Amino acid sequence: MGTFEIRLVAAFFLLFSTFFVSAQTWTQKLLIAERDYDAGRLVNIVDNISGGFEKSLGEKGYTSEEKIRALKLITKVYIFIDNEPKSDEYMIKLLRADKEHNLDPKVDPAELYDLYRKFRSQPIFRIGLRVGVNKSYPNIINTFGTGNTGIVSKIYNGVGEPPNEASINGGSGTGFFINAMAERYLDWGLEVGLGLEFRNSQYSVDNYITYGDSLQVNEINEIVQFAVLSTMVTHQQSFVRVPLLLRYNFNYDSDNSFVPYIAVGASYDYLLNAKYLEGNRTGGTEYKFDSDLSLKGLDLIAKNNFSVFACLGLKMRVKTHFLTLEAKFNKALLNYINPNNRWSNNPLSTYDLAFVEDDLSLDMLSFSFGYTYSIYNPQKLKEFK
Amino acid sequence: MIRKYSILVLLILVLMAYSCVVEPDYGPRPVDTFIKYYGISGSNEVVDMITSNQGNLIILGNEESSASGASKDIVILEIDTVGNLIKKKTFDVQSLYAADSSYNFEITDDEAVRIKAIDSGYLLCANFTAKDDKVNGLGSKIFWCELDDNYNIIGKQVISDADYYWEVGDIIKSRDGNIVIVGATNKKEDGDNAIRPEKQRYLTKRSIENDTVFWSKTFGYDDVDDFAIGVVELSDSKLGVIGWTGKSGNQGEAGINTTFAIFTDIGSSSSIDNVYGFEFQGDTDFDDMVGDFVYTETEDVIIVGTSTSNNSVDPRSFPFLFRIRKGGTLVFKELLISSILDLNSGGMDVTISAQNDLIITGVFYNYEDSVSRETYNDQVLFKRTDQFGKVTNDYLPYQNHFGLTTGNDIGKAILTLPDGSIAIAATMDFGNSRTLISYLKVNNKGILKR
Repeated sequence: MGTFEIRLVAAFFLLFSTFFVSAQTWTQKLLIAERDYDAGRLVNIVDNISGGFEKSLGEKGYTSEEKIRALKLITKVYIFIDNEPKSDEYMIKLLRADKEHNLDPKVDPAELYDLYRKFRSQPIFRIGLRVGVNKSYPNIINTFGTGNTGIVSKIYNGVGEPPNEASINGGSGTGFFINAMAERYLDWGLEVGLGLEFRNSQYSVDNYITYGDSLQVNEINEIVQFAVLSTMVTHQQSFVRVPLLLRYNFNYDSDNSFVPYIAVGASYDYLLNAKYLEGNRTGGTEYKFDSDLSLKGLDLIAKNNFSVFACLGLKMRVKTHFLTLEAKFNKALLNYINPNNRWSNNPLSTYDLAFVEDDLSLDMLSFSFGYTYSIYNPQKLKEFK
Repeated sequence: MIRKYSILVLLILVLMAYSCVVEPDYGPRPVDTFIKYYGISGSNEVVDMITSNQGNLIILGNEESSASGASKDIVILEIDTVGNLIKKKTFDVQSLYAADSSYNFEITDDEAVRIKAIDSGYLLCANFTAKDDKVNGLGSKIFWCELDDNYNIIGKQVISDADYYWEVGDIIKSRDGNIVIVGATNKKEDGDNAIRPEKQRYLTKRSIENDTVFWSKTFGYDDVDDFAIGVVELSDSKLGVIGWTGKSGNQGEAGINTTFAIFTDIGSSSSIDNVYGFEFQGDTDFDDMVGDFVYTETEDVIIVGTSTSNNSVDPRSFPFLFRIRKGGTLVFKELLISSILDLNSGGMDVTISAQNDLIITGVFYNYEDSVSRETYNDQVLFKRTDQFGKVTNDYLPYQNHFGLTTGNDIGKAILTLPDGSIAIAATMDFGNSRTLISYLKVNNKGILKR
């Protein structure tokens, strides 16, 4: 080998060795530091691995997993060199880097466990966003009508038996809602939540003016009701709601990917708008309905209401966040209709559609899909400061 | 931690507990104002409304099915104070006389006119016309009957002749137990030598048991038509008869005018026959047609009706009120107009309110809202005046209108109920020959609100 070749090999050796050293630096340093920790050589560990946190290193620094290992190692080092302020500082850094960090009893020392319990590792609150569909179930409290209410009832959301010579035109009464909720975990699997919800819902009513006449049924004459005038309205309402809930999570543990829950709560409901989405009449001439008629403007609908609800749901853990599926039944406590204005302020429906509102509570069954984002602020608990 | 949140949890539990026991504000509420519709598939119209012997309301009307070949029948609806239909009875004169060979009417159109409560039953009178009757003639005839409290016919009669027509205006049971019927006919009774073109006031007294005719009289003025639309029996057993005539009024009013006449109890002559009319802004040519009347405890007669000008350029129409003492003295006569801009309207019935003022129903012709400028077809009228028939500024706010945005709706009868609320029976027009009988219960301000 000539002099030139020797120099070339030396240059390549130098180049590769430099590359090798620089590419493995922080990973290797961390491994070396962990071996040093295991061997009880604590003195230089912090100095040797702290440089890997520099953001300017980019991909050359620690990976996420290495960063957590490094923070945990430094925390342990500070515990064992009795530097409490620094151990606290790095415990917080650890909990920020790895939300709800799980300690390993096989590896982690009792001292780390002891320090860990002095810190808030759970989220300070969660923000849930849910969207869903609802179906209304008008619960009739008192019946009013322009027909003979003692004999023929209105049909809500298309469920019922119409009189003879009449049909059902009403829809199913479905709507939608979007809900944002701030939730906080208490203890024992219990959470409380306070939210804001926009709910748009509908219900339809088929209304009949009838007369009784005889009809032969199975060779027996019976008095049955025949429709003289049939009308249908679709009632649409939107509320802004402020729900407050108490939720119990079954097996609330970070190890469980699926967390079923039940919840109960109450809500203040403020009416944003209410109107008749459509209205038509069978009998007489074709009827042109004024869909711009604001029932809120007519003060026909109670602007304020309260409701209670119960939920059944399932959380699916995504890291420290959740996807949620929820079924909820919402029962309004107060009359949806303002009875003082039932007859007075609604000329179009009362006369043209021969329709008047019942007293009803507007109950809802809803299904939602959502995402709950956890927000953390790890700190040492007050009692340990 | 639990202690920290215990207040919050407690608050939630309290809220939930409250929700379980909360007394909702809807509670039992009096159903004291409302609107109800009644009828069959076809046309249904109101004619009259009275209080039943059981304290319910009776609406008298007509109905005609939309089925091909159907004819108009008389209908009686008894409803309770919250508008529930208690009884319904229909009468078809043809069917009632189907087994009577002396009449053998063909298909008849029957038009109810009045129903009156009497001891243990009711009196009903109606006009009917046979659609194709070569035996009995095609002119109008009178049907009247006595009904029991369940509206079953106890006795029935017709006033019919192939060569003449009769129209009934009213029926009463006099204190001697017999029936007085008033109306109009083109048949002059014996002793009536006046010269008339067609129609004259007709009075007859008959037995309720066997239709014995005690007397029948016709009255009127030369060369003009006359009609007796109502009758009351005064305390001295004389008969006060309300009607209309083509004769000029006492003050020279032209057109058709309202009459109030007093006849002896044998209908022999009229000691008083006053003719009242209206003029508006110098125009005396108004047709003043009686809608209805009430007979007060002080034996005054309050008459409501419609004055319609015969001006072909700008025909105006307004309700009117008269109050006349039993001796024929005019207490007041008022044309219910507050300004020239008033909408055209008409009066059909009047009631004395619990406040002792007067409330009329009728019709607004082509109603237009003065604020929104929204236009309607004819609307049911509610108008309140003081006890002297004046629509003063205090009473202007009590004017109201009811009805569909389309269709021609008309208030035909009005009553003051014991609780002070006002019952109105109206015909509501849904178009396409679909009209319904309507019962509105409003407060004394004419609002469907407690």
